[in-house]
Amino acid sequence: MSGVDLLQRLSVSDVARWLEVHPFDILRILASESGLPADLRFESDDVDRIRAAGGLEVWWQEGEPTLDPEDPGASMLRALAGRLLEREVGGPRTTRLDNLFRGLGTERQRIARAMVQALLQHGWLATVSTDRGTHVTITPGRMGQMASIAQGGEMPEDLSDILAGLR
Amino acid sequence: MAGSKTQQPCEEMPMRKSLAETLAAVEQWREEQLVAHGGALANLDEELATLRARLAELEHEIREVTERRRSLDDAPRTLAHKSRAERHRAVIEFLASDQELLQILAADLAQARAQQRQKLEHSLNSDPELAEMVQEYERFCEVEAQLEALPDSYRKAILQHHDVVRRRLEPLMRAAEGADATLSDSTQSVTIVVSADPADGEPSALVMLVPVDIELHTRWRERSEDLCSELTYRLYAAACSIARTVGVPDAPISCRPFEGHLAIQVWFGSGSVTGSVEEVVEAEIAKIREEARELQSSNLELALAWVDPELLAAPDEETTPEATAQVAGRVKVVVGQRVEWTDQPAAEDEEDPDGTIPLTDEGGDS
Repeated sequence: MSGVDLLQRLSVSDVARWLEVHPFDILRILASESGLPADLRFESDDVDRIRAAGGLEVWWQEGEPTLDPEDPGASMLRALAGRLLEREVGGPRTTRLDNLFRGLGTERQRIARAMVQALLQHGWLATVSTDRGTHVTITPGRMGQMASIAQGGEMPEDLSDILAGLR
Repeated sequence: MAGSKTQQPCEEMPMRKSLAETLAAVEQWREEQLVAHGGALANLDEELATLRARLAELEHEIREVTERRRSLDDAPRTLAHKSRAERHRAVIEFLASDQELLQILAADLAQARAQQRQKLEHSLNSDPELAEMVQEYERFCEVEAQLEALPDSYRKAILQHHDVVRRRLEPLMRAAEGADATLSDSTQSVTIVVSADPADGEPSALVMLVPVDIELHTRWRERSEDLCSELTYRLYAAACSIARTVGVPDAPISCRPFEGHLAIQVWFGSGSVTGSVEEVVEAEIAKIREEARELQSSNLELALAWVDPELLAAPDEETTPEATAQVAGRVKVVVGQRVEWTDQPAAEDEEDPDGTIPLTDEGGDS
């Protein structure tokens, strides 16, 4: 980037691309903080501020999970359960829903989204609406089972269909 | 004959009819009476037939009048249905017309901004002093990340110098962003259609219809930002502020397609709103009118039209008191910190067979 391009500050969608979220997520975070600037332009410092204010984290920065080609859904589920527990998500402690996927490649993200969808459908996870976007938490009463999954325990019966579909 | 004396007819005595004549006269009388009776019967039959015919005509008329009356009984309902269909059509047509206008203005503004950038490029190429300033700024940007490693005094000095350069570059930055580009056309206006549901009493949902293509939301990565995007960003942020101001900061907010446009829905839930949603919406729109630079650049005015939520349902759809909720769709979600399932709007174009929250990267609470 040089010349005229260099002189341009960031647009909303530039910030969204940088932070791997939808532009509307940026707007929700800004609306709960300082509001929108008159020119809808941002400095690079603003990106860090938005990241911190929105609780945006990259959960898979240090490496994507290794998936068993025979059972990719199960491997992803164990990895997700592990990450949720590592970050002490559960009950009142929530995390952004999109944190679960940030840093994953396209294919792994597809599998992760399918697994999280199933976890929500079967009540393992619950979504929590916040003023900065949708959060997620492990449903109370499922913490022990989630820990067991993370540690290589048996896969839950109610997720067998989705796991089979991903094989 | 007895005696020879001929008897003279007594002049006072009438002539006696013979018995045969009398009987014949009686018979004639009877026949005459029969004829008269038959005539009377025929007359009455005729009268009856006339009356029956008139009665049939009257009954027919009664049926016709009854039918006409019944149709008049239905008229208010039919009229209400037709009126709703017409108003729905008017809203859709108005949105379509506004979308067309916005697209034209967006294209014009993009062109004006591009021209501003071209002028700047020309200036940079022809003015060595300007080009030097930009190069200095470029060098700073390259080393900015390494400033943390420098001693405090060095870092402060560099940053101070950088601020000076930056201030001098500000007009160029504005030009690079096309910030001063303006359209010389006369002032135009687009309308944001807003509806609170229910229309009376405390609203549990609010929908804002923005006359822009839904792809602005669903395919944002493939589009470049323009006036349409900027206006939508303002309105989405306004929806967030509205939720916060009325006391529901964590209200789920989602975007859905609506007849080729984008619908922003705020889901307040029941019994949560404090204050007047209408006043808050008006205040947020007024703030956009005042602050949004792109509206000034494009000579665009922002109008607001409140409509009844039932107008947002297609005319042949069954309307319910929660019409705006129908626009948004619903899924199960936990609201606030309560870990329990309740209703929440869904994201668009996402399969949602079991009512769970779709996991897209499409922003908001989608």
